[in-house]
Amino acid sequence: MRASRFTSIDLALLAVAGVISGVIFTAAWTIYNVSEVLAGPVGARIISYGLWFMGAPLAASLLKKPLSAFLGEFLGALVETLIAPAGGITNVIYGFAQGLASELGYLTFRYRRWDIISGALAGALAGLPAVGLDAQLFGVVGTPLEMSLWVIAACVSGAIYGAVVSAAALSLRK
Amino acid sequence: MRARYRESTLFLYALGASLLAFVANSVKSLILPSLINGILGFALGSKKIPQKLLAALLVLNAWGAFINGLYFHNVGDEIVSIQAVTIRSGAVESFLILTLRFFLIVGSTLLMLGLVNVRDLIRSLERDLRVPSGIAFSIAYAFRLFPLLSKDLSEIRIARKERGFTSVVLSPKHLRSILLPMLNISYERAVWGGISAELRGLRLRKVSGRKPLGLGDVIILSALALQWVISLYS
Repeated sequence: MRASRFTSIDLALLAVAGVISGVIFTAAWTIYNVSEVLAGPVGARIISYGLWFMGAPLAASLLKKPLSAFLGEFLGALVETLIAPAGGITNVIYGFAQGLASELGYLTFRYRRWDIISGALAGALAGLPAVGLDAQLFGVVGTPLEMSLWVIAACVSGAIYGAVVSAAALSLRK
Repeated sequence: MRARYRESTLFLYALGASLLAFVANSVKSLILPSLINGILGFALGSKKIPQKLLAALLVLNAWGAFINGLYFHNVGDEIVSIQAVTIRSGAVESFLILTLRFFLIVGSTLLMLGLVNVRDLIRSLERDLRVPSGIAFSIAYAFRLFPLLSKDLSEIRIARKERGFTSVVLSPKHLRSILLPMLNISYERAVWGGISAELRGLRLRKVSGRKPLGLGDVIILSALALQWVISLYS
């Protein structure tokens, strides 16, 4: 699907999703750092990781079009990079990978479901590339049990925040 | 004479330097690119980004790298023992690698942000890298919305305080109660913004031709290539 199939209103809504996500992503750094000290690696992932996966379900629930999840997450990451360089341009790499994974969530339902369930799935799927990129970039590699716990924590967090943001976005169109 | 460069070349530079941080995995291979980008980036970035924020970033990263090293890589010879905590060579090496990666990634991003303004960067991405014009419009519109959303958020916080709620997001439930009014306002704004853009001929807008590569572009891309070569062969 080409981006030109989005109407001007869709593109403006995508911008809204991008800027709201970008602001949330920026705030998530502080939440992550504080929660890592207070709740450890698993707790920090449950509390904060889902915040970084919210761009995709937010944009998809607003636009309800193929590729909107990917673009929402990617745009949010780009805005985050440009407003606060906490993660530098790696945010864009994370956004790209997480956006693709979230897009798979909607593709699973053949782009027919844009509800809380598909939003939660999209959020959960973004946890996989996030933990993978953490391992590659930050050397966060634990035992198989620890890795499994981190993946589960990231996916659970993604599912919770994905459901919350989908519910909020869907309530607008009622 | 000033060397001309495309803004998108700096974006490619930052992206290439960040990818180098993914690939390089030893102190030796990271030290030179990290120092170059870190020193230049923080010097240039401090003009546009508050120094307090940069200092906070440094402290947070150092703390995170230390915890990460202690938790995941605390193996090898004992370096120092403070009460119950023993710091070993693996933790120190991990701390150094993560700190150098931070300098490389954030330094190259700050270098980009210090030398370009966001509007020119978006225009250059569209013109020189052929980013679809719809996406470029979305990015540009997002930056137009940013001050408006910041104002909305501060008003929502004031309203929450007056109703006796906390202004800080503590749970997904709180998050929803902040997101909903923001989305409501932004949705309405986006619909009319989209209609306005359509009426003003967004679809008919032509993208200008590519800016030719200048001496600055060649210097920037050569510097990136040189850093990759030095890093891979050291």
